[in-house]
Amino acid sequence: MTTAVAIVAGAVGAVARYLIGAAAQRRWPERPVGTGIVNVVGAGALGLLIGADPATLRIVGAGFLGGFTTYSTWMVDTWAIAGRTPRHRSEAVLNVALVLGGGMAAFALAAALT
Amino acid sequence: MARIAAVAAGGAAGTAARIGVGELLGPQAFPWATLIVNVVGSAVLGFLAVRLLHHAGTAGVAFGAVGALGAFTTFSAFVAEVDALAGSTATVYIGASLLAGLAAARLGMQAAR
Repeated sequence: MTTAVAIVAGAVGAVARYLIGAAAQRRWPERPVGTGIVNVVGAGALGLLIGADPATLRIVGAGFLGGFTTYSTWMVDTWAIAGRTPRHRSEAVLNVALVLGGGMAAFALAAALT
Repeated sequence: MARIAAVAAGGAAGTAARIGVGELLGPQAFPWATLIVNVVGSAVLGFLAVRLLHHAGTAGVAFGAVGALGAFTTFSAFVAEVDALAGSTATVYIGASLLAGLAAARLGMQAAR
């Protein structure tokens, strides 16, 4: 039962990611800002769940936040930036560093607050 | 609206598959399940990103690329696992995830060309 709810929560998370991504793309068409936002915010939200009961972790953590954040899009976005021009290589490295650093900082900060 | 429904259906499928891989592997000292879904998902998304380049905005892309593969892979669990692992193992996990994830995405993109 918990797993079924988690799967529905994953669908809701994916739709939220899609809507944020579409809005971010209208505003910043050249850069994958949407993927960065959902990943950093999602990592922070998971930090708030430390110590939560197993059902909440499964539904909100594995379900909603698992569907909301994405690793594959982050990887493919990075190659898309790097492939534009040689000078975009540094921007691609920055995309990896900023999202990883931002996500880890958001998680650690949220975990410290809980 | 059709696109949102497609993202939701894909998101449910991707989430179910990710949870399934975790159940299949069971509790592990090293987060193999997340590493596997993230690397495999990056390869498949790389392939689809090239193959479906001219189908952007269709329900098929919304289901497969945005919904299913987006939800199959996860960044939040990756970060939580990095935080939970001790020093050098965390570094190995980050390095393996980034190197294998980027390599897999690249291989998928090249295979599609």
